[in-house]
Amino acid sequence: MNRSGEKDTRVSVSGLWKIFGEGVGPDFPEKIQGLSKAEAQATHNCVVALQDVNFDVADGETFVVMGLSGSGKSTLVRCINRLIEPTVGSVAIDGEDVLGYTELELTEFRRKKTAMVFQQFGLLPHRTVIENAAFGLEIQDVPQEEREARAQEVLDLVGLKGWENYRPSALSGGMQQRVGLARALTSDPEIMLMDEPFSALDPLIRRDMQNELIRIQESMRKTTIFITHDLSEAVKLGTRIAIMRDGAIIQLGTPEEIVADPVDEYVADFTRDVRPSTVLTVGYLMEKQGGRSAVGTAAPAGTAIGAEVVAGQTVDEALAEQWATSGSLAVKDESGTLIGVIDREALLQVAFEQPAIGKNGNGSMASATNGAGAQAGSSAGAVPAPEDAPKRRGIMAALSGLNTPTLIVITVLGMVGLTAALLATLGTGEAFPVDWGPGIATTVDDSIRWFTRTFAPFLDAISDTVLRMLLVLEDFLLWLPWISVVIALVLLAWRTVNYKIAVFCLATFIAVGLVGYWESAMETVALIIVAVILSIVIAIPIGILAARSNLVDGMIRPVLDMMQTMPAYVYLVPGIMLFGIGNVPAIFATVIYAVPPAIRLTNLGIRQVTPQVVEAAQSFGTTKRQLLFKVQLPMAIPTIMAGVNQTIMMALAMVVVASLVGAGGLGEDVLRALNRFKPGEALLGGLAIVALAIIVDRITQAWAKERQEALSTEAK
Amino acid sequence: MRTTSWKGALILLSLAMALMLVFAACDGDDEEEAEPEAMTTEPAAAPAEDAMMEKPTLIFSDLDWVSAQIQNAIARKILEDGYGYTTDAVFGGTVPLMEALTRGDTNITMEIWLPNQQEAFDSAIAEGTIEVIGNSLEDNWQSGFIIPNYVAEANPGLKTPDDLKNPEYMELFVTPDSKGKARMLNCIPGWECEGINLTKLETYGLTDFVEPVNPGSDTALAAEIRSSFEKQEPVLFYYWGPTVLSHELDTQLGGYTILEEAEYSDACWDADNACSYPVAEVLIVMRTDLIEKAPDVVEFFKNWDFNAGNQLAAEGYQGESGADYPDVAEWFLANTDDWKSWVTPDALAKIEAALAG
Repeated sequence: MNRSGEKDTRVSVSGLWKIFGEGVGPDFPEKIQGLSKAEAQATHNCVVALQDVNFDVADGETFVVMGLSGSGKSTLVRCINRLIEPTVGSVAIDGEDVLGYTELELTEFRRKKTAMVFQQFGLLPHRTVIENAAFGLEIQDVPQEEREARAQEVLDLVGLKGWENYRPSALSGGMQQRVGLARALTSDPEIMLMDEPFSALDPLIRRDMQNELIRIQESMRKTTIFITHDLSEAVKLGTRIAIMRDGAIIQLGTPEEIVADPVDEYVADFTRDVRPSTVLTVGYLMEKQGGRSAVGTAAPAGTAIGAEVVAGQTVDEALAEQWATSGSLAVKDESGTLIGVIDREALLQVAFEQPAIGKNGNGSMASATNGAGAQAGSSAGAVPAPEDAPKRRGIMAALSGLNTPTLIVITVLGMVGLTAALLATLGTGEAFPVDWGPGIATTVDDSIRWFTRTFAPFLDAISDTVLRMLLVLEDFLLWLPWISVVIALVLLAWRTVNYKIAVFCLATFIAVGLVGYWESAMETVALIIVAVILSIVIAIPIGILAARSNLVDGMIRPVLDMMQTMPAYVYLVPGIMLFGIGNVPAIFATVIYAVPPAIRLTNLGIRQVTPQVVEAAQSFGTTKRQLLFKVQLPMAIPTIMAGVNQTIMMALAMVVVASLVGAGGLGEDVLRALNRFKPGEALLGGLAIVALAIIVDRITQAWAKERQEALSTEAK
Repeated sequence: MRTTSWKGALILLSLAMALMLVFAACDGDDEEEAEPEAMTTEPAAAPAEDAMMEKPTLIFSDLDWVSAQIQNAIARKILEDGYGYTTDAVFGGTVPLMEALTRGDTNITMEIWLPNQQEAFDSAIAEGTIEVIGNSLEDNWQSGFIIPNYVAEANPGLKTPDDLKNPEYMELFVTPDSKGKARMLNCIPGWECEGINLTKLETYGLTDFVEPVNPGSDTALAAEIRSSFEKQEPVLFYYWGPTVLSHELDTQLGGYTILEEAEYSDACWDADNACSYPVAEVLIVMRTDLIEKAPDVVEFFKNWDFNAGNQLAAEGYQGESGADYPDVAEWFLANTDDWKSWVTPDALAKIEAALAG
C-alpha cells in the first residue's frame, strides 16, 4: 500500500553528496569510492556527511528522515534549502534545480517556497511572540498590519492566543516551539522542513505537539520533510520513512514496511522500541498473507457475525475490539466493503512477538553502500598513519629516525656549542654588524611629511569639522547654567542607576565647582563626548566588517593590539604634524587609544549571536543586510554597549596625556600643577577625572544592563 | 598530525644548529688574531681604580632636553678621564629631577633655569641642601614672540607686538580655534614664561587681538613650530634659544624674526613685564654635602663656560651625525679648545691621553 500514490512529486533529491573538508571538490565522491567513513577521513582529511542520497517526496506527504546523531539527517535537510551547500548532486523542487539558483533566486525561494522549524527553536529573543511569528513576512516587506494579522491567525491556530506580546524567554519550551511552528506557517510555505522540532521537548509536551502537527496537517496538507531520531515519532507522523546511517539512506519505506521488515540489525535496533502491533495495520498483514480473496459485502465462510475489522486499524486496535473472537476475521475498508479475511492468530502473533530481521526484503529499498564502515565519531588518534608518506632522504631520514628526547638533547647541545663558538670567535657584547634603524626612521619621517603635504586639504577639513563639533558642544555646556547641568545629570543617574549614584553625582559636581574646576570639567566632558562619538562612528562599521570576514578580523587584530600598546607619545607628536596643536590632535590620539574595545566587542557581540538564530533567520530568506540589522546587531547591543563603556573609560584615562599636545580641560590643569610641582592641585584635578569616569561608567553600564535584561527576561 | 609537525620543527632546528656549528668552527681560525687586541684595552682601566679611592660618585640630573644632555656628557667625560671620578646620570623631567636633587638621588644639576624653577630653588637654597657652583649657557639667550622670516618678508610692517593690532597682520594668524584673534603658541603650561606672556599681552593691550594657545608640552610646541615652517604657514609663537630647533629654523627652514620689544631693564620688568625677556639665568647646582668631598669638581665648574658657540658646535655635530651624547662629548673634546682652559694641567694631560688612546 502506497499512500503517496499518484500524487505529484514536489521534492526530488538525487545523487546528493556532502563532504566536509578543506579543498573538497565535486570530484571527491569518486575519489573516496569504496572507502569507509574513517578511511576517507584518514586519507583525504575529509568528513563524508551525505553519500549518494536519493528520494522523492510527493505533494502533501510527510516524509520522515530518521537516524542517530551523526547520520547526516540534519545535513540532508539543510542541503534542501542550501543552508549547507551540497558537494554534488541535485535537489529539484517542483522540477526546478535549487542548486542552480543565484543568490537572489535562493533568497526568493527560501521566502516563498520553504519554511523551517528547528530543534533549538531559533527564535529572536529581543522580539515578542507575534513579531517572531511575523518574521518571515517582515523580511518580505509585508506591511506591519497585514503581517501581524496573518501571524495572529496562525498563533490562534497553534494555541498561543494571549501570548502575542510576551518575549520567547517568558514561554515554556513547548510554547516556544509553537512559536517556531507559527513562524514557519505564517509565511505560508509550500514545503515545510522540520529538523527534530520536538526532540528538545519533554515526552508529554512532545506528544501534544505531535498531535498538534497531525491536526494542522489534516487541514493544511503541507508537503513536509521531518527529521527525527525517534522511531515512534516517525511512525506516528510519517507517510514514508527514510532511515539513514553514515550519510546514506539504508532503508526507505512506509512505517509498516520498516517495522515489519527491518533491513538489518541497525534498523532493527530502532524498531525494537516500537511494538509492531501499534504500527502494523490489519490491511498490511492481510496483503502479506495473500488474504485479499473475498470481495463483496457478505461475511465470508468461517467467520462469526461481528467478527470483522477495518483495514486501516492497527493490530492493537483490532485485537482490542475482537479480543474474545476466535478463528478468521473479515476485513473491510473504510466504506464497509469486504476486502478479505485474516486469521486472528496472525494478529496475536504480531502482538506478542518481535519481528525477525531481514525476513523479507521485499518492498523495502535497501542500499547499504557502507556496510563495513566503522561508526561515526572515531577518534583521530586511532587513525593509522598512511603508509605511502613521501620518503625522506639522507640526514633528514637519519634525524627523523630519532625519538623526541634525543632530538631535544641534540638541539640543546647544538645551541650551547653555537653560543660557545660565537663567544670564542667574537667576544662578548658584540654589536650587530649593521644598523638599519636610522634609514628606516628617515623613510618614515619622509612618508609622514609627504602624507601631510599631499593630503593637507583633506586633513584640514577633518580638523575643522572636529574642531567645530567640539567648540559647539563646549560652548553649549558652558552656556548652560551650572545648576541645570548638575540637576540634569543627577536626574539621569537617578533614573538609570540608583539614588546612591545620584547622590554621588550631586556631591561630585558641587565639589568640582567648589574647587574651581567646573569650566575645565565641562571642557573635558566636551572633549570626551566628541572623541567617543568619533570612536563609535569608526568602531561599529569596522567591528561589523571584522565579524563578517575572518580576513578583515585577522588584519585588524594586530592593528588594534598596536593601538592599545603603542606609547601614546609616539603618535601624539606626528599627530601635531597632521592636525596642528590643540584639541584636534588630542582627540585624534584619544580615539586611537580608546577605539579598540568598541571594535573588538562589536566584532565579538556579532560573532556571539547564537548560530541557531542566525541559521533560522537565513532559512526564511534574510538578505545579509536584513540579517545584520534585524538579528545580529539587536542581539549584539549589550556587548557593543560594554565596548562603548570601555571606550569611554579609556578616553578619560587619556585626558592628561592629551593635554601634552595642548588639549584643554582637567588634563591641562593637572599638567600645569605638575609642571609647577603642586601635587595637591594635581590630585584635585585627577580626582575630578576619576569622579567623571565613575559616573559615566555607572550610567552606561546601567544602560547596557537594561538592554541585556530586555533580551533575557520578559518585558512589555 | 600534530606530533609529527612538532617533531619536524625540532629536526629542522637541530639541522640549523648543526649548520651554524660548522660555520662557527670555520670562523674559529680568526680567534688568535682577535685576542691580543682585546688585551690592550685592559690596562687602560687599571689606573682609574686606585684614583677612585675615597672619591664620591657624581650623579648628574639628566634633564630631558638637548643642551642639558650635551653638557652632562661633556662634564662627565672630563670628570671621569681627567679627575678620576665615577659618574652616573638619572634621566627625567624638570620637576622630578629637582625633587631628586633635593632628596639626594642625584647630586649635580647643570641647568637650573631661573625664574622658571624659582620657588623650588629658593626653598632648597634656604634649607642649605644645594649650592650654586657655576653658570652654564651664559650668553645670547633669548626668548620672545617670534614669526617666520617668510612671514616677516611678506609683511615688512609687522615688526613689534603692537603691530598685531593692525587687522591686516592679525588676520594672518587667525585659525578656527583662535576666536577670531591672532593665534599665539604660548609657553608650556606651568612654566613662569606662561604667566609672563599673559601679563605682556595685557600690558601691551593685545588681549583683544591675540589668543594665547596652550601647546601642552615643549615637544608638542617644537613639533608644531617645525611643522608650520615646513608647510610655510604663518605662525606666531613664543620660543627660546639657542636650541636645536632654533638652529634648525635658522639653517634649514628659512630663519625666524623676533618681534621687537623695549630693551630689558629691571624697572620695566618688575613693573609689568613690558620689555624684552632678560638673558636667562642658568645655574649649575651641587648638593652641599658633596662640596667638601669634591673640591676639584667645584673648582672645575667655576671655570665652566659653555657659551653659545660651544653649544651650537656640539648640537650641530649631533644633528648632522646623529651620534649618541657620549660620542658628541668625545668629538667636542677632540675638536674644540675652549674647554682646555676650564681644567687643571694635570687633568688636561690625562684627558688628552685618553682621547689619543
